[in-house]
Amino acid sequence: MTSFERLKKILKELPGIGDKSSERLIFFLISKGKDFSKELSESILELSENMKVCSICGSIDETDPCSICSSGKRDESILMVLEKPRDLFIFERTKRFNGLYHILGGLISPLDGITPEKLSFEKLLQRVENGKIKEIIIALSPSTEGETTTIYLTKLLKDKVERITTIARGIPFGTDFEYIDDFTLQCSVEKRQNID
Amino acid sequence: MHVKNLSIVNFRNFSSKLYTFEDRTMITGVNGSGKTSIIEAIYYLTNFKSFRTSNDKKLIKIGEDSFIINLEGERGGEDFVLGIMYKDTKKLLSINGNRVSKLINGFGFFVSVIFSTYDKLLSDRVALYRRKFVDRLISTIDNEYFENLIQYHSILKRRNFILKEEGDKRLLETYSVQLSERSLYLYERRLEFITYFEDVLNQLYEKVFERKGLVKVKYFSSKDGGDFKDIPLLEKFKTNFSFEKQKKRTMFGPHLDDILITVESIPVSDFGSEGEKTLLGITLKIAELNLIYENIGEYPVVLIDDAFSELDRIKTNKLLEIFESYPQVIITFPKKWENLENYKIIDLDREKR
Ligand SMILES: Nc1ncnc2c1ncn2[C@@H]1O[C@H](COP(=O)(O)OP(=O)(O)OP(=O)(O)O)[C@@H](O)[C@H]1O
Ligand SMILES: [Mg+2]
Ligand SMILES: [Zn+2]
Repeated sequence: MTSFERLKKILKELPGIGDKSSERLIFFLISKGKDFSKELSESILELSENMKVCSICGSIDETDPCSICSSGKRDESILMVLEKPRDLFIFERTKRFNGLYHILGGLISPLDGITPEKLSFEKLLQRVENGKIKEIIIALSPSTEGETTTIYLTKLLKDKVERITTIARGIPFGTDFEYIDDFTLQCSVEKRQNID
Repeated sequence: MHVKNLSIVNFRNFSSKLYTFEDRTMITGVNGSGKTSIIEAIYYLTNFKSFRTSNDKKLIKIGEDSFIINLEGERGGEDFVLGIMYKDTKKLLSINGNRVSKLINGFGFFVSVIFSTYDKLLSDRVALYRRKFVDRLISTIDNEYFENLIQYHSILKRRNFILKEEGDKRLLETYSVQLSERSLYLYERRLEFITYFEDVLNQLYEKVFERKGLVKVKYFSSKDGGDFKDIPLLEKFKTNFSFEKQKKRTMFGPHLDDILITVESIPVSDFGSEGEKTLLGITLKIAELNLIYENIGEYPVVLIDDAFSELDRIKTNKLLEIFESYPQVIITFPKKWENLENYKIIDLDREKR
């Protein structure tokens, strides 16, 4: 395999990158010269060496526990359950939520082999049993799987925590948080609803 | 809605052909001359699917690698050209020469309804065809129904998987909740529909038989073992947990329901003669025609392929009278049907030789 082919193969594993765009990227890199490539590859390497999965909430940060879990300034009585670390970045950007997070690491989808044991429900139960949490906001994407996981969680947490809420619907079914603007997202947290 | 010209390339037994249609067109020709194939090509531009096979490859002329259908027509007073090319399992659609990137955006652009020997299946003992027919019909006029239906079936698949694999009980209950929620809208719309069907079927039977109130339509609800009751599906799942566990699949819900049609108190699917079943199938399709008209304000093109072969002459003529009020009818007959004087004739035997 030539070095061109080697890079093309690895680039294509990135989300949204196919044959054509990987070739375009490679030609861009060649035109930018050696220094740029060095900087790029070193920063990627540094990122992967420094990034750690937080052993408490499951998000990704340079420290473990992460800066949110170890902050001391966050409201420890309220916990937001999210699907993936990327969602946490999106919610933090709105700067309206001051509680803690819990990342599930996916949504229940048994046909794809994602059964409840594969997600961090156990860890969540442990955090709840430690006592301080009064409210859990379930903020999963409005898809069939998101709904399944929400109902499942509600059944799991029933009687274990004072209040369980979900972010307000109004987010169209089947959309990823990534494509929702900050304002809508903020509103959805503020107008959250109790689940019965 | 009108078809003016149809051009087909490498479609079924045709290499390259152009046909022109009038308000009334009859296609004749011996068996195997290609009558059904022409009707099939026209209908293909409604659903982008054939009505007689789900395998699009079978439509490509043997030895070729693609087919093209172009249809020039008129809709809402405006001319259009709709074209589709099928190659390498891909369907490329264009409207007035512009590529349509998603096939789904072309649905409903050209609307036709096909009457064929398959309509008899609608009166079959097997509920599947009836259920699919009703679902498709409500879906074409109600997007919310369509979405609920798709979600219902995707949740059903997962629920069945959990029952089969004896998975997590809490997850099973979760799917029960979701399924029950989706079923609400499906029930609501289907029950409304039953009443509509009964009306339309009675009107049509009255025209054909000149007798009133012959037809009764009832909804068979699997969760209630008969007449629909206003009890959530979820309750049924709760009380039948061990039964479903033993059967390893979902035993109640809209996916197992049926509509029961009786003509003069006799259930057609169980006791009907071949002609009676055909007639019921055709009447259901006429109900579809009318419903589409009420919803889009335009009559679909009526395509009739061998649909009357099991009916006697009197009923055939009565039905043709009913179709008289539709703006465009394209019909196939193996031989010329002497009663169709005002029809343009496309004679496939003559043109071949
Ligand atoms: N993919 C194909 N390639 C070539 N020929 C085909 C293909 N598919 C079907 N045929 C042939 O095309 C001919 C026309 O079939 P079609 O069903 O349209 O005939 P028809 O006129 O409707 O006949 P009938 O009166 O029996 O209903 C048949 O001889 C059939 O074998
Ligand atoms: Mg035929
Ligand atoms: Zn953390």
